[in-house]
Amino acid sequence: MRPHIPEDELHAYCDGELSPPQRVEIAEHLLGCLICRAQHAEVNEVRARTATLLAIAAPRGVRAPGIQHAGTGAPRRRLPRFTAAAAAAIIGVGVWFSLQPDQAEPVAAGPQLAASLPAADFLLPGHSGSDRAATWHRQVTIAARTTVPARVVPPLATTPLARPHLVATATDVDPVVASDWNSASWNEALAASDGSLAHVSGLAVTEVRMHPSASGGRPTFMVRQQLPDGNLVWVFEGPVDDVAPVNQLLQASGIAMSLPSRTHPDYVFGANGINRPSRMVTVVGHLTVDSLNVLSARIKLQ
Amino acid sequence: MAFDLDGLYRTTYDAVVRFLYRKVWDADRAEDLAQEVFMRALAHQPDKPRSWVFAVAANIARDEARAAIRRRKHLVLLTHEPIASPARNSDVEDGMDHDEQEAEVKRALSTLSPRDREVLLLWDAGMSYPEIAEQTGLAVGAVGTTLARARKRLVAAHDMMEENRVEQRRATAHP
Repeated sequence: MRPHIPEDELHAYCDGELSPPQRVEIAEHLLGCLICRAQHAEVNEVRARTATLLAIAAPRGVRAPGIQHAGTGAPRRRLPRFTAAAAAAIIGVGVWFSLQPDQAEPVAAGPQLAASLPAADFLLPGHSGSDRAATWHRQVTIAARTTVPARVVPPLATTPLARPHLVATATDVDPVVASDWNSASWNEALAASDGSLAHVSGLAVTEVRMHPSASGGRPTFMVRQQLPDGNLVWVFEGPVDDVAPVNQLLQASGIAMSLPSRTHPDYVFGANGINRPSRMVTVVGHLTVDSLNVLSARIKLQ
Repeated sequence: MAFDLDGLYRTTYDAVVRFLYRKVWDADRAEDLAQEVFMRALAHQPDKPRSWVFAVAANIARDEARAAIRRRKHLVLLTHEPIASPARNSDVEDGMDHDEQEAEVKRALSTLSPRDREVLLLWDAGMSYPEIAEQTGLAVGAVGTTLARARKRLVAAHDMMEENRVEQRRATAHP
């Protein structure tokens, strides 16, 4: 395992200035190193404080250019603040469209998504290396620099340092899947999935739940797994129509998710012939999207 | 590629004004200087307009600072009195609060070294590490280090001021 990540490298990582292989390397390291994850959270805090301070030191007429340009149709580099829920809803729609067989490549929705993203960690681009992805990445980065929620800087003595979640707990996600989701044993879920139950290879499974599919195919599955440091992640696999709304709910509550990928579709025989609902899988948790993407790449269908 | 002043203006004008404002600390002057920058861009039609605009803005701000120092010296010689700070209007309570906050940030920024401050302001203006490196003469790898140091120092300086202010208030309330 590589030594701890230098602080300046974490700044470059948060600023989106590293190459895709470097980002993946750091994301993998963050998965397994609690010290670097704490340092990463501190770096994010310092970046947010800096952005807040610099926003105070700006001429009033141009302090909020995103708002100033709203509705004018003019392109803008600085972007307006949206709620996490609105962002999640837009991303959810984008994800849904990106998974449709006849749609353009997913990254085509990038600029629109970037325009509503509240923070850099919320969604980083894939590692395609294409110009379009690079443009999207750049827009997300710029948005992230400037859309840190404004706050009155309070006296240090009276405010403890705000820390993002470092460790996800079961209460973060389980309530979302509490109703209509049945707990199941591993073997029961494996049988219901026709032997293709999605999970991250090498991590302990602590909970399995199933939800009947509206399309009549295999159920939707939630597999809760534990990282070596105790942090939890959730793997959701099921029909797009069932998984996307769950992910929207989770994102609205501030939990990140990996870029979704396709799994084997269902073939449902009905009165009108064969229906073929698409299925997708995502990994959810309080980690950077890069880290969740790394976990997603380790998903095994068994 | 054809020079697109309109696009450049729309995408970078605000960032240039903010960048200049944090150099001259005068909103009207910052806007005047920004106009000057874009006039020069129109005349030169540079290949890399975004980097060029900030490089020129930095040079103009430097000239402006020198001119301001000369003007101030001249006024002091004429009046033999210190320059008074602008009078505050009692009906702009909100503005006062913001002015105080801004003054603190300004002081915190002034504690940074010129290079740290430059890198931080260029980053905030939306420039990438390679663009900042090109403009400042730093290696790309050193931009991250400089930026990390600048951010930490800015936050630490501001925290120190906040702490002092709280201490002073306490001392005033309980003499």
